[in-house]
Amino acid sequence: MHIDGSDLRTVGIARVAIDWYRGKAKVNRPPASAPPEITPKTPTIGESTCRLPYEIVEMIVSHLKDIKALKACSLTCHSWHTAAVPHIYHILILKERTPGDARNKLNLLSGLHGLGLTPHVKEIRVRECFSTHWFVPEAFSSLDLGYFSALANVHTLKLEELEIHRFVPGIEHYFGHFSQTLRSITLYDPRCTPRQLSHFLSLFPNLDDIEIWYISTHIPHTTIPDTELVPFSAPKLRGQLTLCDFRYPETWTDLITSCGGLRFRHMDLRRVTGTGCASVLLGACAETLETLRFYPTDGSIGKPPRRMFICEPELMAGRNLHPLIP
Amino acid sequence: MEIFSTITSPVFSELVIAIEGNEIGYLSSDAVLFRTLRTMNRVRPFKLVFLAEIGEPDRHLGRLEETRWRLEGALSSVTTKGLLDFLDSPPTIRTGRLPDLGWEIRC
Repeated sequence: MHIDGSDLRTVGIARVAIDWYRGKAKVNRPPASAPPEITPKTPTIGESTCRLPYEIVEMIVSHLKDIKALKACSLTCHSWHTAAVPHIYHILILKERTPGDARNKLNLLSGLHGLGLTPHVKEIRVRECFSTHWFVPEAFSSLDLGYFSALANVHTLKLEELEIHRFVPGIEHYFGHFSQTLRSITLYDPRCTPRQLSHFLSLFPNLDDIEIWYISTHIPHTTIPDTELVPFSAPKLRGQLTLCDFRYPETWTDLITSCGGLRFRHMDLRRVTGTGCASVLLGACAETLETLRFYPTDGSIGKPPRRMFICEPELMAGRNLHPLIP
Repeated sequence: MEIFSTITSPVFSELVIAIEGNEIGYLSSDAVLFRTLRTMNRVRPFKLVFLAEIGEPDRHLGRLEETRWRLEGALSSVTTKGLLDFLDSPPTIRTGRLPDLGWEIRC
């Protein structure tokens, strides 16, 4: 084999290069006796978010309102799942998609219970979409009632067209488990007498906010007369009262009697007609009221404004019951 | 007036008069309302807020801004007539949606 100078030079360069790389390898390779060197690994984007403190993750997730975004977060990793799940199941909506078997609407409860999600439910909304109401005592089997009673952390109830008169007596068996946690209740067109309403509200001693839209008092004869309804407790009622189309002072006089007065700080009175209803409320909250919202007109579209708190019979009789006008 | 005079709360600070957007025109002609407010303010001073509310269908199409301009115009007319001269500070103007139940479906 013939090797010329240029080849030797090439071989020499090659040997130098090999030696250099071997030396570099020796330098970089840790000796067998030395402790292993811990080199920080550059985290990828996904890994770095996983290493955020849980409190920070929780804070980020708490700002998300969109359910799709929350569900996407819950699929990210374990810690994001833990942070997102309470927000995903924060509100439980019970409603009917089709008129029919009422018990089907409560099947959701067993599913929630089976997955251990009931403690996350903080708000319950019951919707009635059809003329035949489904959220009635007969809809609850003993099993459904057990699952419903397991919802022990609920602080807000929003109930549409609740037939309170059908739950009386014994309403505490259905709603009593909310008594310690419930802070806010919204009733849209409840079906009951004014006294049944106060009886129902007295079930929640820590109740602060009440919102009532309309009330239907034309109900069938109930098994227990109103006079036998005893208040369960004295609710705190220190938050906001919102009333729309409400004209029954009896509800509030009952609560005033059982609570020793009302302590609402904010009032929003819209079409609160009826003799004395507004005056009872304003008088009862006289020492605690901070803000008052009222509507000088009744909001009838296309009609000239009418004075608030004037109901038709009194208007016809020439009596002005406007509470704010002398 | 008598009812309002029963409010003895030391923290009472704000009275909100809510008006639907289509009734703002009536405001400047409602002398009884402003006379009542004057008497009320004498009994217990408060911050006066006018809130113009519009329905959900009108929320878009720039109706919110239009409603605010109309309310500002109506209050300007009221101020010119001297019906709000009992106030220490000009009334606050707010606009918002008519209250709803918040039944939006999340699940």
